[in-house]
Amino acid sequence: MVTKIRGVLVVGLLSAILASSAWAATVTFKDPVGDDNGPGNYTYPTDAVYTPGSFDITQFDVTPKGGNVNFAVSVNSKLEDPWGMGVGFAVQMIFIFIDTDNKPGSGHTEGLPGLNIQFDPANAWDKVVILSPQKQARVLSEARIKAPNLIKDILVPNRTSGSGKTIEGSVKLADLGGGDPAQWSYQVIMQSNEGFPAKTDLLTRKVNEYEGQHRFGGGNDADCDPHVMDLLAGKGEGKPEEVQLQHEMLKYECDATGGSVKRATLLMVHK
Amino acid sequence: MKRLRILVLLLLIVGMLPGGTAYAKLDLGGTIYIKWLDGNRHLQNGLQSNAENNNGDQGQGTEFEILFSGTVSEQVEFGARLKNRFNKNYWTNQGGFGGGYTFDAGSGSVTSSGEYNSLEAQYVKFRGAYIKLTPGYDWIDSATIGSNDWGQFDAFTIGKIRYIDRDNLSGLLFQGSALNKTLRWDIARISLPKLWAGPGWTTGNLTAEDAAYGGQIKYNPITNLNITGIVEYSRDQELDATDDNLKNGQSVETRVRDVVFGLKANYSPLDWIDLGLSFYRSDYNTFADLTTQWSPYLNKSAKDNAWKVNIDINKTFIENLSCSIEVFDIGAEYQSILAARREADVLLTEGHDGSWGARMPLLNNEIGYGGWDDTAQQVATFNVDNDFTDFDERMAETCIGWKGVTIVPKWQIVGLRLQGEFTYLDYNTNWQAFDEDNPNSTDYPLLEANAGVGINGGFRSPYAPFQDKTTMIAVLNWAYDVDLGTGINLFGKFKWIGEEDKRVDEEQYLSDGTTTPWYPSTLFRDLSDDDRDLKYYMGRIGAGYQLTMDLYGKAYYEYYKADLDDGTVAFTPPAGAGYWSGPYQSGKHIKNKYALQFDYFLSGMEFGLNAQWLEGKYEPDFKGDYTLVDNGSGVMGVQLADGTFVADETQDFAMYRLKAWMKVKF
Repeated sequence: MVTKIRGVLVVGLLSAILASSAWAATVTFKDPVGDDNGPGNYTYPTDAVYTPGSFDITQFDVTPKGGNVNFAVSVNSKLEDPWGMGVGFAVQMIFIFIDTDNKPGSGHTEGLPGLNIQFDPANAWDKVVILSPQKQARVLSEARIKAPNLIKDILVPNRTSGSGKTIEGSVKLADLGGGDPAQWSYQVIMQSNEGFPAKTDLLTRKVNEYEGQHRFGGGNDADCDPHVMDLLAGKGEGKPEEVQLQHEMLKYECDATGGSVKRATLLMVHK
Repeated sequence: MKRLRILVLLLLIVGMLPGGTAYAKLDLGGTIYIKWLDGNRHLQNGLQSNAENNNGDQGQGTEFEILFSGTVSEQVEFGARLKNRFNKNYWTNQGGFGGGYTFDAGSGSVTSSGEYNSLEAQYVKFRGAYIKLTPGYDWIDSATIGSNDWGQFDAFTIGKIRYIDRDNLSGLLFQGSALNKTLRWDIARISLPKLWAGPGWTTGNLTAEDAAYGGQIKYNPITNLNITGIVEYSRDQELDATDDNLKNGQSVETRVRDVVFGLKANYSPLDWIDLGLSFYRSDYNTFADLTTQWSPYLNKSAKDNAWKVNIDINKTFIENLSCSIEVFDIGAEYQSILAARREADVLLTEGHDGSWGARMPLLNNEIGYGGWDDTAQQVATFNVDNDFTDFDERMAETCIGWKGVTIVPKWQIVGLRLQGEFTYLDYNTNWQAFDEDNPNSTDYPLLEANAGVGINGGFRSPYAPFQDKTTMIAVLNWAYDVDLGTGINLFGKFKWIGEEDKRVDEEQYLSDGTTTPWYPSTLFRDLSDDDRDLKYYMGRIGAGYQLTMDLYGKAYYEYYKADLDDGTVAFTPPAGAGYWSGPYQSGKHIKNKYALQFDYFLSGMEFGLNAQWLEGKYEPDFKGDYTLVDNGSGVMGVQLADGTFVADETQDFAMYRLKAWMKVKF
C-alpha cells in the first residue's frame, strides 16, 4: 500500500514537472544600459544598499510555460537581499503593464498609485503584473486599499524571486485573459520596494527634489513627477536612441504648488 | 586642532543656513505593534527571546510609535520619533499601574515593579530627531544633523547601527556630488556610543565629545565600474590625570584611536561576469591598559587587513546555471570601532546555523535550546550584537580571523531551483598560546571563549589560546513550485559542516604549565586529548501555500545531528582557562524541529505567527580511558579530570515556542 501511494505521488510530481516545463518561444525586449535616471536627471538614494545599476533595466523576457506566463526582468547589477526579504532581491519593484488587446481606447490610462504616470489612450493597459519582494498577499492587500478600482486587473505572482541579475515571476495565462503573449504590448516600470510607503503609494519609493537615504532625487517634492527610474522605450531593442525616447516619455510639468500641469504619458512597446 | 575641527564643522552648518519661506508642512504617522510570546520555559523577563538582561518567552505587550516629519521650507525638513518599547510592558501590568517604590542601594537602581519601574511603565521616550538641510548650493547637496542609522557607509568601516533602535546614534552628515552626480561624497561626525564603542564596553569616563569621523567618495565613471574609497577615524579621549594645573583648562589624553581605510571596486567587463574587490586596513591604538578579557576590542594596539574578492558568473554554458565565488581573508587583528555589529552579512557563506547559537544549548538558557531560526550572518567585528532579537530572526556571528573560499552555484532546471555552497575555512587565529612570545597574553578578549559557533561555541569569540582549526561547509538548497491550486511552494535543504581543531599541538605546552597558564599540564596526557572534531548534519523539508488571498501558510520540519568529539575525559580545562567551562558535550546531539508559520494581511494590518515544537536528545560519549563510577545517588557516570561528574545517560529536551504579532501603520 505504501509502495502504491509512493508511486502515485512520484507520478503526480513528475507530471506536474513535465506540465510546467512545456514552454513556447520567449519574447525578448532590450533596454539601454545607463538610462536608470527617469526623465534624465533622477538619482539614486544615498544608502549603501542601492548599488549602481540596481534600477537599470537591461532585458525583459516573456515566456509562456504550460498554462502560465513567466515574466523576467534583468538589471545591470547583481541582485542582493540586504533587508532579508528571502526571495533573492530586496530593493527593486517592477510593474509590467500589458495591453493584451492592442485596441486604442480599451483599458486603463491611469497608472498605479505612487508612480505618478498615465498611459496614452492608444496604449491603455489591460493587466499589470507586479514583481515585488514583498509577499503576494501584502502587495494585493495594499492594492485593494490604494487602487480599488483597478484591483481586478492587478496580478501578483504566487512567488517572485531574484537570482544573478534577473527577477522573475509567473502568473496564469487565464488570469491575463488568455491569448498569445507574443502579440501583446508591454511597458515595464522600474521602481523600488518601499516597505514603509506613503499613505497613498502602492509600496513605491518617492522621488524628491534632493535624494535622501531612502528616496530618489532629481524630481519634485510633490507628486507631479513620475516616480519611475527606468522603462522600455521605442521598439525595446536597447538602442541608444531609446534613452532619449524614455526621457521624452517621462517629461512632466509642475506648477508652483506642486500640482501637475503635464503628467508623464507612457507608450507601450511591442514586437 | 580640536578647536579648528569644531570651527570647520560650525562653518559648514552656518554657511548653509538658508533663508526661510512660508512652506510649513507637518506629517504625522506611526505604528502600533503588538506581540504575543508563548513557550514552555515560562520566562517573563521581557518580550524578546534574547535580550540583554531580559529574556522571555511569555506574555503580550504593545509598542506604540509616533513619527513626525515635515518641511519648514523648501530647504529645511525634519523628522522625529517617540516610542515606547516592549521591555517588560506586559498587558498584565495594567500599563504599569501601582507598585511601590523600592530602591536597591547595591545596584543603585529602582527595583520595584509597576509605576516606578521604567521597564514596565510603558513610558514613551524621545528616540531620535533630525534636521535635514538642502540649501541648493553647488558645493553641497545636503546636511543632516541629528539621528541617523548610518547606512550610507559600509559594514567594515561604519556599519548600519542598531543599538537598540535604528537611529539612536546621532551626528552630522554632509553629502555632495560632482561630475553630474557620477561622483558623490559623504563626510560624517558620529558621536561614539559610550555604552559599547570602546575596550571594556565603554568609552571611559569622559565621553561627551568622543566621536568617529567618516569620509567616503563613490565614483561611477562608467556604467559598469564603480569605485568607493572610505576612511574612518575614531577617537576616545579621557582627562589627563597628570595635568594638575586647572587654571588653563584640563588637558585630555587619548584612550583609543582607530583609523580604517577602505577601497572597494566593482567591475562588469561583460554582461555575464561581475568582479568585486574590497580591501580594508585598520590601525587600532589603545591606551586603555585593560587586563580584562571581557571586551569587544583588542587590549593591544594592532594593524591588520581585511579583504575579499568576488566573482559572479551570471551565465554559463549550461542554461540557467550561475555561480558566485568569494575569496576572503579577515585579519585576526582587524579592528573597526564602528563596523556593523549585526545589520549586515559581509560574507557569501551562510556560515553556521542559528539553531545552535545559544552558547549553552544543553542548559536551555539564554535564547534557549532552539536557538535562532535559519543561518548566521557574518560581521567583521567581535563586538557582535544579538540582543533584543526573537527566535525567528537571524543570528550574527563574528568572522574575525576567517580566511577561505566560498563557491555558490545556482541552477534552475524544469522549475526546480537549486542552490549549493561549498566553503573551506582556515583561520588567522590558528596559533599556540595566543602568541608564543607572550604566552600570558591578555591582549585577546575571550568573551564566551571557545572560538567558533556550534555545539559548545560562542558567536562572538574569535580567539582561543590554542587553536589549529579548519572548517568545511557544504549546502544544497532546493525549491520547487507545484502548479496545483494557487501553487504549492516546496522547499528543502541539506547542510553539512565538518570542523576540526587540534588546539594544543606542540609538546612544550603540555610539559610547562608555568608559561602556559591556560592549560595546566596536569590535565593532559597526550596532545590528542583536547582535539575537537564536529560532524554536523542538518536537513529541512517543507511546503507553503496561499490558503486564501490574504493568508499564506507554511509548514516545515528540520533535523539536526551533531557528532561531537570535544576532547577526551582527560581534557577539561578549568574555568578561566580560556575555554568554555560549560557542560561536557562530547557525544551525539539530535534535534527535531516542527514549525508552522502564517502571514496574514488585511487592509493595512499585517499579522504573523510562528509556532515551533522542538525535541531532541544528547547521548554522551566518553572518549579516552575512563571508568564508570557511582555518584553516590545510584547514577553511573564519569568523573572528569577537574572533578565534574557527568552522568552516563541520555538527556532529553523539549521546547515549545510561539510568536504572534500584528502591526498597523497609520
